[in-house]
Amino acid sequence: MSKNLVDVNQYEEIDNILKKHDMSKHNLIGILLDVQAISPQHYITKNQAEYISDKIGIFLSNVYDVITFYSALSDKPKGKYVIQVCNSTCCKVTKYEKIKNAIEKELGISVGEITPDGMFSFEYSPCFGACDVSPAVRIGEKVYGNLDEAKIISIINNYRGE
Amino acid sequence: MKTCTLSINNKSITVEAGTTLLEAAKKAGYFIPTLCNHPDQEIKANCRICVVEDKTAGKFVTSCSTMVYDGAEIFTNTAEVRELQAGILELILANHPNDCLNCIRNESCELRQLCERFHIRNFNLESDIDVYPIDNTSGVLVRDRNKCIKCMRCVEACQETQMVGVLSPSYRSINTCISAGFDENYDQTLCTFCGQCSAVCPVGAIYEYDENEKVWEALNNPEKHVIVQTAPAVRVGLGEEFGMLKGSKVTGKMVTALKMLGFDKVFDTDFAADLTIMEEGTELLSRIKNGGTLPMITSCSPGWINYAEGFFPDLLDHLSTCKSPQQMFGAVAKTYYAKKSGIDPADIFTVSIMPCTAKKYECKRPEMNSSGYRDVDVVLTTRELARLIKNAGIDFNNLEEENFDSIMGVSSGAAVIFGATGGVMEAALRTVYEIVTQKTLEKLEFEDVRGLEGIKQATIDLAGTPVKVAVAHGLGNAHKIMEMVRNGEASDYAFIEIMSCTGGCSGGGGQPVGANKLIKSKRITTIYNIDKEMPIRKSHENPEIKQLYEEFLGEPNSHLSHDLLHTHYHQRKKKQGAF
Amino acid sequence: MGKAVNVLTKNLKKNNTNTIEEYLSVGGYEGLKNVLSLITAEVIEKVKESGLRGRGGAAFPTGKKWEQAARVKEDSYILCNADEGEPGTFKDRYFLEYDPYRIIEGMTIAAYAVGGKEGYIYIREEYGKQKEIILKAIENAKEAGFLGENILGSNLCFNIKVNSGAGAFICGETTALIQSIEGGGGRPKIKFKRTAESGLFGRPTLANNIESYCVVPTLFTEDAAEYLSYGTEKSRGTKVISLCGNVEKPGVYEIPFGTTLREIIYDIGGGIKDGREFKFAQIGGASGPILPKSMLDIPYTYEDFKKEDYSIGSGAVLVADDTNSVADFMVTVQEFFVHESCGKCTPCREGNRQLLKIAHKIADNKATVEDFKTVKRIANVMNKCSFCGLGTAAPTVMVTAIQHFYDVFN
Repeated sequence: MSKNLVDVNQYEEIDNILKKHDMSKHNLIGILLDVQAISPQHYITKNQAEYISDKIGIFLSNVYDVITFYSALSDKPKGKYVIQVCNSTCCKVTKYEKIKNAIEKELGISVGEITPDGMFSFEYSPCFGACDVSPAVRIGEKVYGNLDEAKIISIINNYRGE
Repeated sequence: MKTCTLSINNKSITVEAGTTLLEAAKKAGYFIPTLCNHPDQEIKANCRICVVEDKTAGKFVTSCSTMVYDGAEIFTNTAEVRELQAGILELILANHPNDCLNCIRNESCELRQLCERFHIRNFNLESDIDVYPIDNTSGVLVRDRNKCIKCMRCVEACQETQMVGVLSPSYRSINTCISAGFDENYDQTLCTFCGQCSAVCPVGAIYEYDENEKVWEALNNPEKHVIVQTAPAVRVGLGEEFGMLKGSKVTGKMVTALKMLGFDKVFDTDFAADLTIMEEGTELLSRIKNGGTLPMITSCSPGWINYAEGFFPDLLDHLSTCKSPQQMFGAVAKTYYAKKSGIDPADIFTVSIMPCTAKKYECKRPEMNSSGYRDVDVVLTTRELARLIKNAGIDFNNLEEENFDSIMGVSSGAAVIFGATGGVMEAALRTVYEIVTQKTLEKLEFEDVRGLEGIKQATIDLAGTPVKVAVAHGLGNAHKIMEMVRNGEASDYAFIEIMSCTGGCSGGGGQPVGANKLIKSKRITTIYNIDKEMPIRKSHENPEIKQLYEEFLGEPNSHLSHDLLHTHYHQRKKKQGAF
Repeated sequence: MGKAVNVLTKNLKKNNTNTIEEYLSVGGYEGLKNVLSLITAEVIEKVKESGLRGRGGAAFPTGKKWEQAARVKEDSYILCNADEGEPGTFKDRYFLEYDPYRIIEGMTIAAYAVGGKEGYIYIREEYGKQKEIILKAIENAKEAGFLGENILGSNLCFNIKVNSGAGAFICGETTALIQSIEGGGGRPKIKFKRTAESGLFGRPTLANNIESYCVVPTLFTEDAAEYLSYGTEKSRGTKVISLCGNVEKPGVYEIPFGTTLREIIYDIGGGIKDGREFKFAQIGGASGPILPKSMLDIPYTYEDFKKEDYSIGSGAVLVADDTNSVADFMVTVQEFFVHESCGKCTPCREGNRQLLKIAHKIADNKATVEDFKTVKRIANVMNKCSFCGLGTAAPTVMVTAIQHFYDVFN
């Protein structure tokens, strides 16, 4: 592949990821998480899935199964920052709805949507084990807890500032 | 043999250790309801409807996945067990479209049969049906995911048995659906159209693309001369659609029914199978003599051809260039038969009745027009023919028997055994043996290539030269053999027969649904019995075939034979779509 | 007066065991050192005597599990289930973050006792930070000779790999976890043989929860005496709980078995936050029962919960005050199960779907008497016919809510 062409599918990086995971079928989840991580929109394209399927000898249908089975993997693009609000039992009793409403108001989108500028997408998430600081949200790998309306808006603004 | 004694519904029974409760109950005279269970597949235990009470263990277990043990006290139909089973049925029904009156599977649907058994009167769950788009763009198989009950039988058929890997579960929970990945339809994948998915589906979620209307249209068109050919395996499967015993021979009735439907001529694909043996036997001997690509591999199974083109495109030289009997028939019908009968080939409409769904794909291949027209116009599966006959109100069970029409209706026993795995190999050997040795073959049966073992091998003594041959059925076994060919481990084989479906065409994807090894065996046994009773048992002795060569083709592999009866292959890539 | 103790959790709040040196300085690896001087049968016997039961929720006697694994001649994979997914549970997160070497030590002791050379920690994707910490700890342990070849000069060779989950609660179920490590969707698999005989990659496998592995080193040090002095006859020692919800002091606490719920919530947890009233508590995660005020004096033990046909589950104690609606809570729980069911078996996939519908009806005040009967019916099917524990336990909230709070719904 010519280095001058823009490799929108990032095949070269995928090759490195596959090598890192020993080209092993068993490491499919790790491979897909890493491939997703190099995508600015946090998803895996069909082309990428086909490439992986060919390279490590798994049927495409099985690759698709793994992508769609697991919540942390996606075949559809997300925002640059993915805000996940926990809507499970503990955050329910500490009133996650207040946080959710604040985010909706601040970003102007509903749960499940992406802001028009592609910067934020907003989803529910099942419990991610931050119940001691409930209500909590996850943005990417970071967990923010002990939230109220003011705090979450401030957090969003920090991301905006980056 | 270790045994176990247990009680089922207070009735004591002794069975072999390792028997499932499901099987043991059957021996004790009880049918436990099942859906995901399939005797030829892995135990799945995901529908859960086969639940029974294990009083000894104090719990409820799925009978398909629990083995017998000494002293087990099992109850299969107490009020509580029946309530649980009915509850599971209700849960499935709440997610199932209420389409029985229109559904293509309404007669053979396993879910509907369970409803018959449970007669649920107070269905009070809220209906929640899926609305996926129907995949019907291939013109061969149709997928209606809205009827899927997630038994996963099709996944096992496609991934494990056939190793094609198009179907897989995807998503989870209530979004679980069987998918080829990324919303692809069948025709955008490397699906071989073997139809084994449709053969194992318990409901109407995967089925053949019904083309009966096209046939009715042709039959009702006074300007069309409509001819029909019937494959060997159809005559041992069709009767099952009319309640006859599995593997019943219905050749005569089938011919009568076809005549009553209004076909102008009822011919036999078996005639063309004899033709295939002439061409293929000659080709094999030529390759052996002239150092051609060996092993040569049969080419009459279109599911197998699709598989080879898609998964082993580097080995296409191994395939015989012979067309399948269906396609040879088509080419000959619109040239030789047209000429002899004085009918304009443009007016001939050829219908082919096949135990096979992939034949629908085969007849639509662009290259299948060497007659100057589409060699075969429409393919109907055994299941479609049954519906055609029922639609016409013909009393199939009580028909008299009639014979095929000439000049394409005579066949040998070697032709009919094409319907069994190992049959093409045996048929070819019967002819090749006599050509090479110039002697009469005393024993016509080659038992080594018969039977349901996945890969069979034999060494044939051909005038002192040992010739190694192999037979594989089911694409999973095709995969094994082709890997050997690829690695050079099969270089000492001269000839390999590969059939896409387990059991060969008798177990084809277009045959009556619900088949298993036992049923396929019965069909195969009937085929070999038909062979035994035929007056002619070798392809080269078929007088109509002799006539065809004498009057028209000249000799096997002649220029004209080559034009009409041989073909070429090309790599199948995804996204080719239907034609 | 209920009190929390600090035997298993002695390193948690101090956050002083980032390096191997720090861990050793607080008595780390004393357990392994003592274990290596025992024969494997003695090690297993001690675990059996301790009465330790699986701390992830299944509560299978750990000693018995180790015995089954040891009986298999082939080496076992030592699997650590770090997929902590039960809503309201976060105790394993603490061990991963603040006491990672304890987990490694526990796994190493298991490898010695049952015979194993390779370990896997399956850690949920959401614990990315904790994954980095345990990876570093494994690296440090290897460098210092506590992992790898000839550990502490013995014949024991043991290495640990870390696998990430990808957001599926069902992967906390052992066979689903195994499917996930093997690279596929996390759908539980039929067990024709025990996992001890055939598990990961078809090989003998010992699978335990993090907390279970964390108890193990303590059993072989001086702390064992204190640990075993707590608890009841049938529930020995302590349980690490995750207390959360509308309480003053949510957090991870180690409580002696036998402490009552009331003591946990009011003495240890500081009571209901903002001066509100207790309404209900959910025990053991989303799969656990919700208990009313009248049951606050139930001792937190396996046997007392079993009497009511409940289980203590993962150790989550989620407290809800009177600003909460039981019906809305039921909807939350059912939405969780519909989200997390793997979809493989009919009772769980379709049962959860139907229960969610009825939960909504109840929350909207549109449920009929018939609906409540249907809940019971579906719950029965799910309890008795589901493929795995998720489906079996999923109806628990609705069933217990109807049991204890029926009047509220009328």
